[in-house]
Amino acid sequence: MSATTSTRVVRVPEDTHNEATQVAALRQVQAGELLADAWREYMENHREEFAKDLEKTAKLLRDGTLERLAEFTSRDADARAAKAVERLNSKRAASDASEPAGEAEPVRL
Amino acid sequence: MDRPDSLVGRAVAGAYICKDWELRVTARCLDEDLNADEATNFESIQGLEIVKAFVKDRATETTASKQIRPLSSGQEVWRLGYGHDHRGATFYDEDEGVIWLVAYGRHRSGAPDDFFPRCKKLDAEGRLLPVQADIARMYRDRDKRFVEAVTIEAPQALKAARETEGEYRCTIGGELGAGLAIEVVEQLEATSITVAFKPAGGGPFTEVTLQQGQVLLQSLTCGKWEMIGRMPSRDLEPDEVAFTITLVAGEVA
Repeated sequence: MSATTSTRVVRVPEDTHNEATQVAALRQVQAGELLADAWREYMENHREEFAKDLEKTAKLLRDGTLERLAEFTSRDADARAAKAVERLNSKRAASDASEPAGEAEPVRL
Repeated sequence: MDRPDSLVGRAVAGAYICKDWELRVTARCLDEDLNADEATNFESIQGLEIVKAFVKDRATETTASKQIRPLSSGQEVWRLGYGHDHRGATFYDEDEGVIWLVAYGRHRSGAPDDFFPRCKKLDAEGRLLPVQADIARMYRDRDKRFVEAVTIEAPQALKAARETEGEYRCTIGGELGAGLAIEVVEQLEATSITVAFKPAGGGPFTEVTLQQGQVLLQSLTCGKWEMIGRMPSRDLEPDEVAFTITLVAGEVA
């Protein structure tokens, strides 16, 4: 993939952004450069795997059913869901739950 | 995620599709509170009063005037009500674009099964909020919707790209932003199709984007797509990947 000089904004998860910023500071490069390098490395390392998956997708489209293609597309749904739960848990704020529960106006911080 | 207009306002598998998010019910709530099978489709519970209230109140608003609290998880869980004492609890996951109905019951102050203390207990037990199985089911439903949409939209996009000079841009399945460029190489009697894709709506590029891209590419034409570094008329955007395939005369795209 060719290098790009574009400065368009790309959304990344906050923790990824924070880690990239820290490592970039240590390596004295821009966080964007670091992420672009990581992305190129990822695509290079997964090229073969991607090609295999493309082939399997083609086979399912030719010979399989939409149901089976959808199942293949969802092959890592459980792992993705585990990550989503982790993210939800990390967002949980500390709370004093010693009082009885009820309905209340939202707390505005 | 931009949900296709054709799906907005409809129950599809385990979800009710709204413009900017979807409504779902956790398996625990379905089973224990609504007395429904935990794999039931949204359509089959749409007649329940609390589900009607869920659709009415949360199709346009993610929150309510009151929260259910305090909860040991510290998460924002919103009160849903209908009638004198029917209560529901909803949880909005903005990152995933989904509002969950996580509990339903009756509010009878002082009663052992009063809704609010029960919510608090469920939360403390880690059973109030959606769990991994709920989210995995949501992903499977979404993947299925995407695959179904792509098989319809990919041929339409290919047709539109043939009729467009330069690059044709579109959104596929409401989730994938795609640019298609078609070039005819007359000397070789060949046609090359080049496709760039990225998540629609500025979302992060993930493995799901790659998986969706694979379905798009092979739905356009089955064959050996090669990864390339730029589109015919432009550099790639930082969150895009591009592929190309050349079809010689006789091969059909």
